[in-house]
Amino acid sequence: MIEIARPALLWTGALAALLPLALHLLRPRERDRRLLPTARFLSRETRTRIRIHRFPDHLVLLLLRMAFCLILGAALAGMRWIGPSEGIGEIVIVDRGPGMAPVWSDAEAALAEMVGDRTRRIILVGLDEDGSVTSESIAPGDLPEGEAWATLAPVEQGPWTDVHLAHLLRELRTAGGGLAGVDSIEARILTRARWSAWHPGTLALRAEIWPAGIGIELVTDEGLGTVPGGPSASSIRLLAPEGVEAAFREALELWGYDPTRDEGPEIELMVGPPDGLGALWQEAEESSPREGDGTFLLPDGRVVPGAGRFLGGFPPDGARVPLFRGGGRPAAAATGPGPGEPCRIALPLDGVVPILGELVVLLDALLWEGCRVRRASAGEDESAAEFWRVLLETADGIGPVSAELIRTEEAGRPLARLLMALAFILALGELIRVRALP
Amino acid sequence: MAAKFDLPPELLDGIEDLAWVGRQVARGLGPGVHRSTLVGLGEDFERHRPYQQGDDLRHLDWRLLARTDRLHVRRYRETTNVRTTFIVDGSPSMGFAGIEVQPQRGKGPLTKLRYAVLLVAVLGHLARDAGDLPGLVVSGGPDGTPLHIQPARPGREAWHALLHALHGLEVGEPAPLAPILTRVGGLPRGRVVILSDFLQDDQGEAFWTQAGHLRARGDDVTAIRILTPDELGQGSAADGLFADPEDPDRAIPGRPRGDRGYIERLEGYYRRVALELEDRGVLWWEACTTDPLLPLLRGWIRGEGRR
Repeated sequence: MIEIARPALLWTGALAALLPLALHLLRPRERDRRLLPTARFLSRETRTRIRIHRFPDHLVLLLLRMAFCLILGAALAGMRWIGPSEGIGEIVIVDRGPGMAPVWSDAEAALAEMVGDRTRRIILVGLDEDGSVTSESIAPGDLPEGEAWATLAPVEQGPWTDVHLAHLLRELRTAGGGLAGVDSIEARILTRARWSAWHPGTLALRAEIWPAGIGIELVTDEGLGTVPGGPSASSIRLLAPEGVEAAFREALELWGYDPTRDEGPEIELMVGPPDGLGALWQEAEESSPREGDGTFLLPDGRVVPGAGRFLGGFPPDGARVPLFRGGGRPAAAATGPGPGEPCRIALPLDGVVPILGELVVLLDALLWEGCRVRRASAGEDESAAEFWRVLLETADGIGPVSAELIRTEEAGRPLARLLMALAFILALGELIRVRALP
Repeated sequence: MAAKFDLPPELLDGIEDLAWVGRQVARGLGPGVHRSTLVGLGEDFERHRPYQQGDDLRHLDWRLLARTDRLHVRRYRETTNVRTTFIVDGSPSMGFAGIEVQPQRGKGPLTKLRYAVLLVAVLGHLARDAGDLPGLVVSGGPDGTPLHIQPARPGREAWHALLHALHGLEVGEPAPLAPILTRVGGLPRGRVVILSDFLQDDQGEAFWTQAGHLRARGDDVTAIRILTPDELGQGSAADGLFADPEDPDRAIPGRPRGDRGYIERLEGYYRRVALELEDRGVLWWEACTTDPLLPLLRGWIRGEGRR
């Protein structure tokens, strides 16, 4: 399978390939001259009887020229060869955060069903009471059951109330690096929808605000769709008022983000709100109806339908609320990036570092980590049983329950160099041909 | 030994009974088949002449004296050989074999030049059998000079040298024939055979003028025009863009086959060239590269028209 980062360039190449065709067809072409010593006696008036020769006579040359345009367009379009599905290893990541405690037995049953033939590792990630990350990697065949499963119970509620899901992704990357014989990793994350902290319309809104919010392409130095390799570099740039920046950076480190080690797409975190983020705030009544369906006014002025439901008492009447919230608090807002621009996440904070443990943050974290979220589903039911059902069936449109089919960007092989080499050879051949012309 | 042109044995067998005799008296260097300007020293009886004082008594016809009691001497016809110089047009147009075929070396398509080479070899063979001294001049050298000169000399080696020259003959540069004729005019008189398509830039005027000069000084001049079926409008080629190999930048769209105007202009051109040459006493023969050689030669030598 071939993935294309910039399909528009592929189409541009296809259109450009029509140019040599048009030139071959339209350019006045003299017919091949044939020798005849007595040509001087020919009747010139027969010119009118000679049909115009418009069929592309240099067919091979035409095809090569068209191929050059197509290949060049394909090379610039960032084509990537994705290997066959047999080359994909699957990892199941289990959230052992405190929020999972009430549904842990259900999680066991769900996990048993999730593990399949392709599952290579099961990783349980949680936070200890002291806030440090706990991670346990289990082979699918060693999955504990019953009492043994109970020993893996979620961590107790401590000062760190949520698992930072970036840790899940880091574990995914670590585990993926140790998997042999696969060219990409798919991950299923087993976690719990926390309806009390989640706006059900957010997912739909995200897709509107970020046209590629699900399946987003990330900007890196090498272009779209690739994860930067090479030396580690800080990829998160903080744009925050003095005082807030230090607190936020500390929070990032607490989340496990190590700017000297982590790699990822360029993401601007705007802690604020700075002046330019005012548009991200809406009047609660006009943008986020408490019950039923309503319309949402997006930062770029578009009005989209969405479903809204808020906890009692929030937001207070007349309050300005951000488009994105988590945990009943303003959590994140996003400006709409154009194609090829970095994701920009604005955190409208009041100097308070939020706890980003909700699913929306999980999605953000996935994006930060260079993963691609192919599909997400949302559900209406808060019950654990419904939650697991949705998790397993991944029915579309019924709740922000699971983010599935997370594929690492290691998948695939860039074809740009190969295509550019082909285009270069064709261009060289054309150059030699032109120079050889009398 | 260097490769030379070999005539097919069947062709040699076919021309065995042919004698290519000149149309006029000649003054050669040795015995041959041509009538000599010298009378009385040959072997063929011509006529009686009344005896005059001083005549050699060995030529007195004693039998006639016995019968008629008159003194007559026997006069004999002198036969001699001639220099036969073949002038082959070596201009690029002679490398033409047909519209759809490309000239090649060796056993490639039969170009006009190769057909001319065949004719030279056969006629040279006939001439040599008659005691003549065949020579060869090929036009197409730089600046109008001959591409090749093989002087008319007696002997087997000279003949083999001529055949060797024919074997490796290739077309040269565009060149008019008139300067070559002028050059041949500086040689001793004899028989001159010109093989060409006669597609001259000046419509042939300088050529026939020079040919007339040769004829006037007593040369027996024969012009053999060689064309291909495509040039005669008999080929299978359809319409196209055609260019003279000697002027390839000037292309003309046309259709040789079926173009009545083309045929009329072509025939008119050659009719005029032939008339001008014949008016000057030059023999005009025409050949097409598809013509079988043997009947063609028999027709020519026996004087059965132009072809």
